[in-house]
Amino acid sequence: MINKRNALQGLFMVILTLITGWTTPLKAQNSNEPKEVTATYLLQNAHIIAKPGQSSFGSVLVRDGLIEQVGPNLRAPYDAQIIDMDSMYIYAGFIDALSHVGLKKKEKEGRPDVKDPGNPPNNVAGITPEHSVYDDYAPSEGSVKKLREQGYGIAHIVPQGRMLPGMGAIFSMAEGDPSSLVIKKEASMFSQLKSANRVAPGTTIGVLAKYRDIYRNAEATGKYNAKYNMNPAGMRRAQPEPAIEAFIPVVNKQMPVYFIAKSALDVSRVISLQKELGFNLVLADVEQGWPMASKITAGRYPVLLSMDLPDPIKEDKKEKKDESKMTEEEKTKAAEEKAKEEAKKKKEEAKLSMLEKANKKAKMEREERKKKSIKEYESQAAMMEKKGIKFAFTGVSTKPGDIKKNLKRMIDAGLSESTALAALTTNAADQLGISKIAGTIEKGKLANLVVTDKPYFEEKSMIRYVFVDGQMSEMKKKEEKKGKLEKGASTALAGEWKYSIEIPGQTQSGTIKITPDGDYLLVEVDSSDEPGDYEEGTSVNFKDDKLSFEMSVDNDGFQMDLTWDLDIEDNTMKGMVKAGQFGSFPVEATRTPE
Amino acid sequence: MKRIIYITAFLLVATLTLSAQMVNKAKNVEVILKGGTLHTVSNGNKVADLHIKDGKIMAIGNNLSSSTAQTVNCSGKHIYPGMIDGGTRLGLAEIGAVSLTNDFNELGDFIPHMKALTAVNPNSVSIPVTRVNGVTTVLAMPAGGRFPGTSALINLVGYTPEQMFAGFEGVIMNYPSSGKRGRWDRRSEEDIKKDEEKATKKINDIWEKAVLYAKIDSAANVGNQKRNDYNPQMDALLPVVRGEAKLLIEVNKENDILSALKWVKQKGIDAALMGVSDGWKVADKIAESGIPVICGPVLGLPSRASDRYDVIYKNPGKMLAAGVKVAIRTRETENVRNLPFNAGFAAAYGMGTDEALKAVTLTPAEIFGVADMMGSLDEGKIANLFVADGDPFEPKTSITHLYISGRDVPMESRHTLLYDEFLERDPGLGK
Amino acid sequence: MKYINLIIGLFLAVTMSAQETGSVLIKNGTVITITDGVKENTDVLIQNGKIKQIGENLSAGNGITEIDATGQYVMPGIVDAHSHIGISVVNEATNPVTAEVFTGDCVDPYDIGVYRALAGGTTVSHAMHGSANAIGGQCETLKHRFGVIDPEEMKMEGAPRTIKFALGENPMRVHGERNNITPRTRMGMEQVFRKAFADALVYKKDWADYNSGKLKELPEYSLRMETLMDIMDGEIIIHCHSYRADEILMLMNVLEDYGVNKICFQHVNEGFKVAPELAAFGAGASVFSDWWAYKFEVYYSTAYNAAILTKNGVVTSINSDDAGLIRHLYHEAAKTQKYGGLTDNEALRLITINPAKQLGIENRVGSLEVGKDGDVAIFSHHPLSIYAINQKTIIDGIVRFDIDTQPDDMRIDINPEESISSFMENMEGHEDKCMQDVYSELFLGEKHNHSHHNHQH
Repeated sequence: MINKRNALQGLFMVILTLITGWTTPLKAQNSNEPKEVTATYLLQNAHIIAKPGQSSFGSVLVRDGLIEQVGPNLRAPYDAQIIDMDSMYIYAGFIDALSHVGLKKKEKEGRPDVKDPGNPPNNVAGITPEHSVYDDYAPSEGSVKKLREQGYGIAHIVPQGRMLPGMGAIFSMAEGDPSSLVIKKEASMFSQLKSANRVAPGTTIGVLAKYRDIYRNAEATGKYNAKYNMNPAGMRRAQPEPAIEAFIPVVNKQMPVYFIAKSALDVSRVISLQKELGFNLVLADVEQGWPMASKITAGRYPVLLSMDLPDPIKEDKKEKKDESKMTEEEKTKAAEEKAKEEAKKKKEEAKLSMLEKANKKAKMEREERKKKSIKEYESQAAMMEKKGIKFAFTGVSTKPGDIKKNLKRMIDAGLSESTALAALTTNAADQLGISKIAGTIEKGKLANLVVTDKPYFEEKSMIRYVFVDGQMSEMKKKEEKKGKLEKGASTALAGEWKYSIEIPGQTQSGTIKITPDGDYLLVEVDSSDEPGDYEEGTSVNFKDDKLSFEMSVDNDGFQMDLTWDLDIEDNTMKGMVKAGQFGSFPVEATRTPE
Repeated sequence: MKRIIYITAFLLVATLTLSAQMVNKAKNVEVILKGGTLHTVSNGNKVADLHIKDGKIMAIGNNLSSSTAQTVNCSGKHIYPGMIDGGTRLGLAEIGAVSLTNDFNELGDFIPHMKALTAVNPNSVSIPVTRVNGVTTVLAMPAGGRFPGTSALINLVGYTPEQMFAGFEGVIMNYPSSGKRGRWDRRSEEDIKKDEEKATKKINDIWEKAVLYAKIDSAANVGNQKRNDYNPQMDALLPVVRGEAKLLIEVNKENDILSALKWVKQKGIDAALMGVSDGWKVADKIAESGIPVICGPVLGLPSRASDRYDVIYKNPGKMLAAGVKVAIRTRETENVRNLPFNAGFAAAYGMGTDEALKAVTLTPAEIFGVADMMGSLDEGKIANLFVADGDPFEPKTSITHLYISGRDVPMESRHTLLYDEFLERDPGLGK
Repeated sequence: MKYINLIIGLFLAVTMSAQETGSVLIKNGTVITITDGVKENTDVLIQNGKIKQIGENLSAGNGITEIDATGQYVMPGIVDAHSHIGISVVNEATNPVTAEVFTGDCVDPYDIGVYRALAGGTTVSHAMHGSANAIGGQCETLKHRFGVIDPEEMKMEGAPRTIKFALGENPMRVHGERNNITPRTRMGMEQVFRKAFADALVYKKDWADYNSGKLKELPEYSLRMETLMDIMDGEIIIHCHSYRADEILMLMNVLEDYGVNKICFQHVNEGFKVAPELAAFGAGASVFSDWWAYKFEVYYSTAYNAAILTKNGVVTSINSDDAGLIRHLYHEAAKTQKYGGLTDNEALRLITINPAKQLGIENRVGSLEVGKDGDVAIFSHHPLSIYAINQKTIIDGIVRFDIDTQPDDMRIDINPEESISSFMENMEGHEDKCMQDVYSELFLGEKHNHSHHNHQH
């Protein structure tokens, strides 16, 4: 989930206030890195995928935030930093067609203190179309960095809230001041079928009724204002109603409505509303759009597909060794074991009563239906591609870390790589009306680039560089991020560990999740404030029962590095966490039994 | 003269207002029901006379006569043993939404000593409403926590709970469930599992203590050992632990049923299962255990969206076919009167009329250990029976006479009285 | 300009998919027509969704499926004038007046409850807003075309508009007791209705004055007021949740003052006490067969309610208000033979033509007549017998339920993240289901009707 603040931020704040007594923010500069000396880069010897389906080998010259040249053998200008790409792959920077990155997480609301729940103030009802996300965007939020690291150069950001949270804006994902990053202010009206908290509109039917009211009032007010502007004589000035005024461009079809519609029913509901009122609709974050495909086609609605997918059914946990890598002896042994297992299975089956068999069959059928259902979600993009429905992707409800994994699942389900890439780049740019400046690698466009070591959609590909507005970020190699495993380490460490850190006067707790991933070790940590929002550890090292890793937490741009050093004994880990310059604190963790 | 008119008018008004409030007395009678078809349940059907005296079925036979008995001509009519609902809240709650009229749910999770019989209201308006449909006996059950109390079997006539008591009391246990509690249950699967494990541990802890308590109690009775301190909860469990009384275990989900079967076997106690909505899935296992079930409501919804629409209707029939001893209950309060219809649906969906009738008469009597007193038309049993003009499961059928504990019960309830008063209102429109 | 309109017209014609219909010949059944007696050994021919012919020895045209109904009972599809299945929201419980909301906005054609109802022979249901508010939302009339994917296709096209009103404890509890907002008593109830209608008249006048230039200021548009105006214009049938005799009389008085006469009282447990008044007003009554005593306002009830109302000339129906009861409305109707001795036809009218009248769709459904919709249920025994089992349910000539051929698991929309065995304990206790969503949404917080669709039914 994006838009949550960094998982360990709570810990950070605790340390910050407890140890230093600082309550006012530090200056948002933590970088020990030397400043860049040039804004000109020559990216040499790379496969350049200029747009979906178009690939060449050569170089890209970036200067002052723009792509200056693309070609086979570009000469390096004097001021260029030359980066040899060593046959890596360059793509146009990705565009998130709808996102909440860079927005502070909303505080949890209690029951609003409203005397008359039928007539709450607009902000409690979730009706603030006059609000612009431009006023909220904070480029220093950790979520921006996370998205950028996934290759994103531009995002259409919409405010958080309920039915009408406000207007969206298109931002560059670069670092800097919001005013220098905005590409399009007031680019859209953001809408959801999300009801208010215990006040009107309290349900989806309430939201839909309210939407009609707002629309009709904006329509009437728009007409009235137009008449007044033509000749005000004999007319009273319209009483200013910010929410209604802000909605007039929607009625006039000058501003598209990005409407969240995840399920088939929500898609249908939103389309019905559009048909009735007639605004410019973009269906956003569609998870289950295929049942309504013919309606989508008929109405030619632009579609933003969700990159979120249901969890796959866990397959047999036993690690199966690749047969091609087995010795003859191992092969016979494996075959014997397989035969044994099957015989055992048969024997067990024979013992079952008729009833048990029937139950088992019914259960298997249900499992099949569930698998099929998951498959349908995975196949949505492929199906839309086949039907000729043009779509872009949105990551608004997808964890950045899941994006690539889920795209792979969609491709395995039949989506072509070029359409997947288009949905991340050109289609999104078209949809947002920014295709003149973004979406492809072309001379004159923004220098938003993603560099991967293997073709992006290959399972093991890694993003190595991301350029946004010509600003370069280099990613660490996989080997540096994950600790190489010792033999037997997977059994020693794998699983979930509950940790607690003793900070004077307070205890911070959470979960450390350790997953062996091939020859490497994936370490993730969350905090009890945000259970399930895991932060990945880097520089993981495991040797002689000692585990160490690093991670950085940030809050509004103040970064702090945490270094974990732990000694492992059976099901407990003990050690210290070093928190930047603030000191070290004892930490203990115990394994959660399976 | 004026005075007489006044008094008559007053009496008329008084009866009118009262008529909607009270039903007539159920009088103790000696009566011979002549020439009806007896559906004995225990011994097939036969046309015979039936003699009721001193609250009991004195005799069944041809050409019975007695100088002291009234006779009722029942030729062409059908006589059935009174129906027994093996699980209700009748008498323990008057108006659902008015909590202070609800007496089935005391505070606490482990309160087997709460006795339903104590709180049975003999004057509950729902009692006449229920019995005129042929239901003469019900189990009144506490509900709520893990051990919500001790249920009581009552006959639906009497001025005091004691007069109503029909000879069986049973501790209720709600077996830990691994299912969702309803539409609003938002616990994650893990949380449900955790809660279930916790609950299972708790019942095992309780049982361990109860067994020890019984041991101490037995020793104290023999020698001069230290007696147990006052512990009404454990006292209530004593007969169950010793296998002298039946534990009634509410359990519904497939794997919970299997787990409950194991649990009962392991503890070596006498038990019956209640609810058992997934019984059709594990009917063979239940049959194997020999543990009887009191299932229902039959007119309930399937527990899963994926289940066939009629699994609950078919549940009693399927269990019976697998060899399970099956009784049927409604789990109702004010609408226990729908017991014949619950049985009727079971009958239509595979159980058959005869077996469904047994499931609301003799089988529950056997499960509650009172078959020597009720559940069939046999000499010597309590005269709990009714006379009808047809199949009692058919809504069209009318019940003409009703006897409970040998009392001639008027075919009246609030519902019939309101009908009598309002069918033809006088005045109709206007003042 | 005209050219553009034409294109839009064509476009709409293509996108608004015509309702799928079918043809079928039902042979040799005992045909219970409701309006024209019971006919033995009779055939019913449905062609392109409509009843074409009822008679003996009919023959099917080419390609028309025949169904042998020998020994079986053929009756019109059952109509339920009060239910909450097939929609994902029931109560917008935030205000005593919410005439602007509409359950038709949230139709859920995947609700398994719709299939279960269909399996019980129920082909049409009135998907009502709940009873939290004095003036609740507008309701949708559904045809149980289970299997369709598009919610629009489950709506009964052309059915009149209806709206939910509610009296008594529910609105008093939600608004008066919880929010300290009138009504807290039945006195307050009356004034809420009077104020709503009076406000709507002012609204109507404001717009008329504005349009004629008399009023200079732009009035606010209000869907709520528009709806109340439509009620007063007779375009919407009121279905009013009610129990007590006094409150029923109160609403009839209020409606009379505002010239409104299209009303059917729902539940109306004490309707039997004011049956002559109901009949004189021309109000319908849609009742439970035997529910009572679950709250104080239904304590003085009688299961003879339907019989008394019927015998006093009130157009009466038996409804379910419940996903369980809607599966056996034929049995609920049969209870009126026990409680009040209604004839077979009187009893069956309670679940066919009478509810159809109350919903304003009696020209389409509710009886087997030539020209009406091909909506049929075929029972193994007489539908009023306890042994009746529905064999097939046909809607618009399409067999939507078939006891012999359909699989057990009929879910359409499989939640990809739900556990394989999602068992729900059958919770006990009756309550009119009209309060659905009130507690969940307002007391427990918001439900999430997005994201891998947590279905609420």
